[in-house]
Amino acid sequence: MHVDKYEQAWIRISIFVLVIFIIAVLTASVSAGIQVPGVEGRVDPNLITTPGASPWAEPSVRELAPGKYEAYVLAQIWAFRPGEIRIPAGSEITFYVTSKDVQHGFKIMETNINMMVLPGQVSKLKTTFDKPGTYNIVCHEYCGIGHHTMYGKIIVEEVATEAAASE
Amino acid sequence: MKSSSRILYVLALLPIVAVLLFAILRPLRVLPRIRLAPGYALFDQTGARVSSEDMRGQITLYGFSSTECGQPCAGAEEVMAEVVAQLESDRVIPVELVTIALDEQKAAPETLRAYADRKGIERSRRLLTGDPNQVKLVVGGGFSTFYQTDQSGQLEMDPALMLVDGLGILRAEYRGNLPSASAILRDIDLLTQEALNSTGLTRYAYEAAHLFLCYP
Repeated sequence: MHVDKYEQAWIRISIFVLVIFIIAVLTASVSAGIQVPGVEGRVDPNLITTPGASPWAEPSVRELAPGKYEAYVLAQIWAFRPGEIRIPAGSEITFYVTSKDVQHGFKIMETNINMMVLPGQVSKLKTTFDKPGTYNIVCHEYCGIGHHTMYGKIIVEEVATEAAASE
Repeated sequence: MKSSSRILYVLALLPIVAVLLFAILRPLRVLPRIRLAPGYALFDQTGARVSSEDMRGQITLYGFSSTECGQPCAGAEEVMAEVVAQLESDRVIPVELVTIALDEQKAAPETLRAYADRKGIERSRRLLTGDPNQVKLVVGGGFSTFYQTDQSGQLEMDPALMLVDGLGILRAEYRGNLPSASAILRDIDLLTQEALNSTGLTRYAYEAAHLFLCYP
């Protein structure tokens, strides 16, 4: 079979690069201990609901400082806990989401927030909600018969300004 | 294949292999540049004003506690005490350990000194206090560390330690299950090596190491 010499050369390069990548991935995962996601992004699903062992035992929104929040959200069949998150407009919020059971999705409608949620893994995302309104959170990874009923909401409340308050 | 073509292929592959080897073997280890550490102007146990600018040029390990804090702060205090015990005094780049008090009210210098004596904290370590709103912005807003005082006056907090380099950049966040003192000292050594060696051409090697780092 005739193969053009340039084609031969590029086949060799492709194979060589492939081998290098395989070695790179293996070395990184085995020797250097690099995992995706990182060790700090993991949680033991067996302890997820044990009080004191995990912040997802009591999923909640916490105010770190004025205008800065963090939300520990637990996805489970077929609900998000907490199901409702309230923050003032203009707040920065960091979501730490994990799953109690199977694979779920965490998509906030009308935004580009879109995360996959896996048991044992913490998905983290930071965002700011400037526009007041209700944003629905939907599960967009099929998770069973009640998948379509799995949703939550974020209510971004308008902040009363001094001018508005004096009216 | 002509020998000139072969050389050409080798030359094309060499940088790829070099980059991959650099990424895999990580001859230079660095800590990520997470974000700028928060700026502040607080007061220490002598009543002197201390700002984040005073920490420039040295490595700073921040811990958080309150003068009334018991169990929630014990773990972090133990790790900090262990770091102090294992830290050599003649380091090229000084290392300072700072505890920011999370009291509901600004603590008086004598309250801080009494707390330090009670906990066996060395005189050389700084304890900082200030207006509670400012402390909230620094610790909650800047270091993203949750704390609050419950109705019974007990401090609720997530254990945390923060490592900041001499340029005022947050380089490591230790949260939850805090690491051992030796792990923190290893990170301090990495920061020291980077600060000492990242000059001239080596600086580009360090920048490349940052480039290949998986940032949190």
